[in-house]
Formats: sequence, C-alpha cells, structure tokens
Amino acid sequence: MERRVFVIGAGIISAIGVGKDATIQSIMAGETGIMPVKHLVTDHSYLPVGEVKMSNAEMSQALAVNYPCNELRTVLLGMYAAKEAVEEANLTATELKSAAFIGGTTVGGMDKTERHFKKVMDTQAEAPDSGELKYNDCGYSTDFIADYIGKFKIVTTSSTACSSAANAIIMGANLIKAGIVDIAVVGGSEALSKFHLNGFNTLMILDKERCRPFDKGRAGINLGEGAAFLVLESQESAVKRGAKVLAELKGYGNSCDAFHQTATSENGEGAYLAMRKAIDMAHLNPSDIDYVNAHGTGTPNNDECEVAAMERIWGCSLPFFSSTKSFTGHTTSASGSIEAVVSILCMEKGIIPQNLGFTTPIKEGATPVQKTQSERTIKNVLNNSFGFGGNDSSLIFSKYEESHG
Amino acid sequence: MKKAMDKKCYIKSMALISCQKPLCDDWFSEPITFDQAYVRAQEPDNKEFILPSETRRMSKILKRTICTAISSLNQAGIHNPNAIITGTGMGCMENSEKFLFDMAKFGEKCLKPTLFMQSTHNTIGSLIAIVLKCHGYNNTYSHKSISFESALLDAFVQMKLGYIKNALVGSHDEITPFTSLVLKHTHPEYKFLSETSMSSVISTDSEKGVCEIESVEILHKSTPDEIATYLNETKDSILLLGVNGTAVNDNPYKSMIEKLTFTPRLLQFKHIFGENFSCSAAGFYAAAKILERQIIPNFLLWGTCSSKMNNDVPKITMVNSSVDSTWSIIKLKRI
Amino acid sequence: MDNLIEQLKNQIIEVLNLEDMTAADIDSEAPLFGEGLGLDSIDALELIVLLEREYGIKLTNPAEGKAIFTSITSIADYVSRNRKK
Repeated sequence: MERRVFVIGAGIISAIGVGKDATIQSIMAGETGIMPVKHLVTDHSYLPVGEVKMSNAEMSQALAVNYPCNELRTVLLGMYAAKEAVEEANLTATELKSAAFIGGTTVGGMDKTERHFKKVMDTQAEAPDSGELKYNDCGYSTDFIADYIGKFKIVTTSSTACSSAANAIIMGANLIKAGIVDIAVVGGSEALSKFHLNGFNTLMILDKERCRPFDKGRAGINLGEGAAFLVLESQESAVKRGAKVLAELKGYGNSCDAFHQTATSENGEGAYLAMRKAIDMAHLNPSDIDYVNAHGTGTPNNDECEVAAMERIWGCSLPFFSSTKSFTGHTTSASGSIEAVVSILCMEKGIIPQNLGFTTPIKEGATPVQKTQSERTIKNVLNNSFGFGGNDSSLIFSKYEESHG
Repeated sequence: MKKAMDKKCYIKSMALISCQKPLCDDWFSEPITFDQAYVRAQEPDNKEFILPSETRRMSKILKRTICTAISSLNQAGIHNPNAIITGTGMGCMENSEKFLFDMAKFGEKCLKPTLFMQSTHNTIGSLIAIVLKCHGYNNTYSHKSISFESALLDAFVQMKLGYIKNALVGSHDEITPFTSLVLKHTHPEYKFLSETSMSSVISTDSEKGVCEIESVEILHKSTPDEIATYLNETKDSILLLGVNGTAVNDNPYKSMIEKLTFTPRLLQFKHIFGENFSCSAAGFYAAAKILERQIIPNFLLWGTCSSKMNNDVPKITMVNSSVDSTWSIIKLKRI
Repeated sequence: MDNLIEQLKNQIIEVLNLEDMTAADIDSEAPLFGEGLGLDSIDALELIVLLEREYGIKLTNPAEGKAIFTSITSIADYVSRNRKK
C-alpha cells in the first residue's frame, strides 16, 4: 500500500486577493481581478491583466525583506504564499529541516533582468549592472523563498512553463511516497514580466478584452501573476503530529502531448493521458469527479482541445467544469498551485466556481459552470495544468475521509 | 512499499557533448586541455540524428540535446522511454538573449515568436518528446548547479515507486559569448567555462548496463562538517569532486576533507569538461565510464594521492558543492 | 516588382532559417504553406513580424495573413500596395 499524501497547509496570493480568505470571498462574489495594467511598466498597457494589487515596495515592507529580494517580484509573491501555507501547517524548524521545498517558476528573476539588460548589453557586460542578472535563474527565486521560510533538506525547482507548479506538487508527493521526506512544501510563483507578456503577444494569443474561457467567441489569454504553496505530509506523519487535514492528494498524472511547442493536438492526447493517469492512480471512476478546474486559458486552440480530451474521459456528459483564470488571469507557472488552492477552498466551502465571461458554448454539451453553485457536496476535484511543449499534468484533490485505506 | 524501495536503478547508456570530442570517449585516452577561460562545445554531425528540415528552428542547445538523447536511446535499444526528465540551469539562453536583445533594440514591437516559444526551460525536454512522439512523464528541473541531480532524483524515486521502468535523464546548458561575459560578474567562482549536453538512459534492468546508481542526494545549504559526517558513515574509497583550483570554489571541499575519518582517493573532472550549471552531468558521465572500464585515467586524479590501484574501481561517490552551500552526492557502483 | 520578389525570398530564407535554400529554389507562385515550402502557423507569425519590421505593415489579426501569404507573388503584391517604408 502506497503512503497517502495529505494537504495540511495552503497559501495563495493572486489578482483576486492576498491570502485564502480574500481569495474565496472574491470567488463567491464573482469578482474578477482582471484589470488594466498598474505595476508592470509596458507599452501594452491596453491589455487587461490579473496583477497582484501590491507594489514590490509594499510587499517588501510587509515581509521585511531587503535587496535583492525587494526587486524580485516572483520571490516576493512566493514568500507571501509559502508563509501562509507553512503557518497553517504549524511546522517547527526541526520539522522543516527534514522537509523538501519544491518550487515552480519559469519567469524567475526575469523582471529584474529585463530592467538591467539594455545597460549590460550596451556595455558588453562591463557595466556594474551585469551582476544584477545573477538572479535571473529560476533556482535563485526558489532558494530565496525557501530560505525565507526556514532551512530545508532538499530545495529544487520544476520549470515546465504553465504546468511548473503542478509538476512541483507531483515531485513533492513522490518524495513523500518514497519515504525520502515526510513533509514537502510545494507550489509555484510567477510575476508578470515584459518578457513573457511580449512573448505571448508575439504568438497573438492575448485577448484585448477580458478573457472568455470556453466561450465560442473567446480570443485568447489575459496574463496574470501570483503564487500558491501547499504543505504536503504523509499520513503517518500528519496523524502523529495531529495535523488538520485540508484535503488528500489522491491522484496525479503527467503526460506529454508531444505534438508542438505551442499548440495542443486536436484530440488533446497529452491532456487526456494526464487526466486518465490521475483518475487511475486515485482508484476512482470518471463519474466520481465532481468538478474539473480546467486549464481553460481562453485561446481558441487550448479550450477546444481540452473539451475534446474531457469528452474522451466522460463522453458527452461532462462533469461541472470551469476555468478560474477568468478571475485570476493565466498565472502561468503558478497556475497549477493557485488553482489547486482555489479548488481546495471551494471543496471546503461546498461551492463550484463559475466561469466568468461565458455566453455561448464551443459545441453542444460543453457548457462550463455559469453561476457559482453553493451547498454542493464535493468529494473529488480534478485540476488541469498544461504547459508549452505539451507538458500536461492533472491533479486530484479529495475530501479527507479518515476511514479510507 | 518496502518491496518497491528495493528496486535497483542502473545506467544503460550515455552520450555527451562537451568541449571534448563529441559523442565518443576519446577524452579517456586523449583529453584535450585548454588554456582559455571559455570554450564552446564541439558540435557533432547532426544529420546522423535528425533531418535538416527539422532543425531549422533549433538553437545550438536544442540540436545538441536531440543528438545526445537519440544517441543514448539508440545505444540502449529503447525508442520510447517511460519518462523524459531534463535538467537545465539556464534553459535556452541563446533564444532568451536574442529576445532580450530585440526588446532592447526595437522596444515592445516586432518581436519574434520563435525566439519566445523556444526560450523556456522546458523547450529542451518537450522537444525530445515531440521528436520521439513520446507521451510519457515529462518534467524539467531548473535549479542552478543541482538541475541535473534534481532530474536524476525524480527518475530514481519514480523507479523505486515502480511508476517507471526506464527514463531518459539528461542535463543541458549552453553558454553564449555574451553570457560568458555576464558570468564573470555573476559567478566569479567559475574558472573554465564550457558547455554540457549529457543524456543517459537509466533503467531498473541491469543487462548490459554501465553501472548502478546507488543513491542520489540533494543537501540544501549544508556545511562541510555535515557532508563529512554523512560520508563518514560509509567511508566510500573514491570521491569525485567538483573542484576547479580556485580558493572560493575549493575551500568548502577542503574543509569537508579535513573532517573525514578515512582517506579516500580524490578525483576531479571540471578541468576537462568545463563548468556550467549542468557540468555535474559531465562528472556523472565520467564516473560511470570509469566504473564501466575499471580504469581511472591519471589526469583525473586530484591532489597528492598515489596513482596505484587505478584498475580496481568498485564504487565512485560524486560530491559537488556550490558557492551557496548546496551540495549533491551521487553514489555509483560497479555492476 | 522582380526586385521586391527577390528581396522577399532572401528575407524569408533568413527569418525562417531555411538553411539549405537559395532564392532560386523558391518558386514565386508555389504555395508557401502545407505543400510547397511546408510552412506552419508559427512561420506565419514570423512573416507578420517581417512585414512590420521591413515594410512598416502592421497586421493585427493572424487570420488576415492567410490570403496574403499564399505565395511569394501574393506577398509582393500586398507589400507593394501597402508598404509604409
């Protein structure tokens, strides 16, 4: 029998709020966080984005951190979320010392790099600014976040674009199951950068209006930013410590679409296999899934293929599904953990969040949740995260039942 | 679970592109030595592995990755691995840099989609999957000097859990001329910069294997004393170290050695393969080849230890440290 | 017009990294996508960037590109009518 993996702490920061309480309140009120650009300095200020409503200076002050972290937005966001998660889990320094910290990011310190790059380029790296490019690597972001929380045994970073955080969660769970650690703090963090805003813009997949995932007239993504972390713990360890269990991570699947660097295959092979593997690992039937928190970016290609993949699992009667990117924007590398925390919060409150911006289905039967459902019994939630290159991952979080296993 | 954890893990095949002659082991008998502080990798003939029409969008690191990946898979006789797990410290630097150059030059317009699309760290690992049409587990680790160890740990753990039976595990880093200038400021501890692209097939099956992987450890922010204490438990007789001859890089190793309660033979590899975030993958390659051939080449010996007994190598323990005190330990064993 | 066609061919070879090709290898009338040169949707986006960088023509919707990028001749025709530089 494999070790069971529980979620015993969660933290989140995104465009819809700082912390879990603010997040679930925005979801229940149906209030999106997608607005005109405020903090990012860009020529594309006409593009709506899901920005966290705090400046770097405000976050640095609240977290009491200095240079260079005060200039690294990915780090600041990550610190907020990881701190909330670890505080809820109520872990001692000794417990952290034998734990793992697995972060997920792609942007890393790019926001800082792009501010200094022109000077470094113009002087052929002779300018003192060259040293500022040091923190570009993903590893620095994760290390700064982890070291802010405590001393960990293993710290590393998964970087698979928009599924980074989901894959960090999977790695953490595997380390627990293999008995290498009992506790893993896992998740992802990503700040908006000019680099990836412009990158997505070159692919012509950013919507100039608020995004409309799964709508027939959808025209692309609104980028977002944020961070979320979960604290995972083995059953034995959680029981021994008397930890309060928020949910169980019952299944997960990772599969590559192996089709194209930026497009999804028509039948959503990677997405299908990721969901299938997750459902099988959880020993569930597809009909046991009460809600799918979809990847649902709002691009014509993703949403159509994701629906095709879901239909391969559930036939024409899909479970409740929605994309909460209509609230947060697409938080790229952090989306896997942000949407995991949103799903766990919804499960706890018995609500199924609506898909904002939707009016007309892509096809018959592919209608996402239009009005937030409350007083529902939600036992199993499936989260999808798909990244560039077809790096597709699915996670299943289940309501904690002591009797099982 | 006890039973699952007993599963062993072997290296089936390996391929390396570095500043030495590519995709072969000529370095073993004829190592090329360099005086320069920065040397690029020697490119192999791509056409043996991939069609020119398929490479037109690929940057150097992507072409190298495909060559080492296909070469190691061919050697292992595996076409479609259960998993592709990749390490890269800096990802697709050439493309990222070009995009940044363009953004500095043109502003936020007229930027090229291909550069962005192939700038992310996971471009490397997912490209292998696209070329192989491999739908298995696919993950990429990007964590400075332990990117490779993270990928290897992932594969190792999944084999122990019985989730996979084989995996393509590699680590790849390119250093453009511009990055080499920047690294002088950001990583002054590097003495000899070069590039690494290493792919290996690891498997639960030992047949025709190169060696066994006994353990993979990442030890975040650890002291030399803690590492010495760990190594003193098993007193493995041969240590392969990431030393490079500079005080800032080597002092932690020296402090660690002082605390050892035994006298191991000490080896080095960075002077031959150069340094970058993936260079421990080149060290891993060298260690495995030594175990396979059962000979330690003299030019890999470090310090004053004697050169006797170079033809009996039961085990090599690779110990790497970064200037920010993250250590990794990989134990390899003769089959 | 012939000059423009030649120039476009060379620019396309460069931006799309058609490494082993020369301008003479590209038939001005042959389809660029699918059969013919076998270009894909990412190449179409690169061509949109090319038109903006070299000729000051801004396409905001990738769908507009479809008719324009049929062949080298059709691109040359569109460029000559719409170029800003």
